[in-house]
Amino acid sequence: METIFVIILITIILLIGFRFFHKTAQEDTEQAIDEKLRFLTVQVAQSFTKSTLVACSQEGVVRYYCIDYQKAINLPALVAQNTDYFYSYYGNARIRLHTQGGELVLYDFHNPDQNTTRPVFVPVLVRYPNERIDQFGFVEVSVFS
Amino acid sequence: MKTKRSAQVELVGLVIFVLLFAVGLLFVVINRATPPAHSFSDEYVYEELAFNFILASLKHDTSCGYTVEELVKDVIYNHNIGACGDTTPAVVLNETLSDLLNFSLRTWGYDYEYVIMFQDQEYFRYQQGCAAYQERPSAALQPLPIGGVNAKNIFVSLSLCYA
Repeated sequence: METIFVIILITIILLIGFRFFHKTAQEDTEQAIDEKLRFLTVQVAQSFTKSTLVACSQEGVVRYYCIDYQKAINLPALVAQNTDYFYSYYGNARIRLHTQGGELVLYDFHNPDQNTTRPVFVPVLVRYPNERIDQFGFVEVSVFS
Repeated sequence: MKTKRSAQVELVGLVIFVLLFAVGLLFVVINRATPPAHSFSDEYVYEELAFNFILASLKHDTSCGYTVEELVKDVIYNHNIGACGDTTPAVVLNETLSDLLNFSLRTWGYDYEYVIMFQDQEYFRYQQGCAAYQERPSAALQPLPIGGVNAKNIFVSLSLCYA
């Protein structure tokens, strides 16, 4: 009788242990995928801000990122014309420019059912040439998989 | 005699069970209570975000035609700008920085500590969360030189804390 009781107890303990470790391993895998996606988001944000946006300089030294607003509003049309080219670089991603006046979608290719992590934000200075003012804004980058 | 021995065996079984259960529980508690380590990419994102925020915010043009950097220098040291529209440069600076932080870091759900200091005195402080116990990567620090021959620095710092 005691032997059966002990066997049942050990089985229960083993089952609970297996369940716990199995869940932890699954969580680890999900975390690793999230981490990979997040790293990719950072890369896209870096690549986009450094290559597409204007690097404003002070006395010849690049000090901060800025966007010429006139160029930014033309960017969605440019992306549409060169879809394959942009897609090969950025894949499934969404890049939006937020200014205090509103938001502008610069690039958006993703399906509604795709997963994403927290977006990466890059604060930038938006330059309005006609008005001769620079205003704080930010680029929001999300990558989907 | 046999009943007594059987009771002893059961007692030993119960003790073993309780011990195993306690060890298991301890393991689970330790595993769950350990805070997750922050990855390099997280640290990098936080530091880049803080530096970019400071640099972009200082060059932001305010409603009275001066940049945030110019207003900071004037409010703390120069005192040359008499008025900003109907109000003072200090009020405009305070409102502008609050607006920028609300528009960005607060909206994104970051905990932050934005401080402007000069000669060990705090002139402006904006804080959301960031309790003393919260972990944080290195703060972004931007010195703003003022004065001529005896140049001094105003320090603008931004810490982003891990949630």
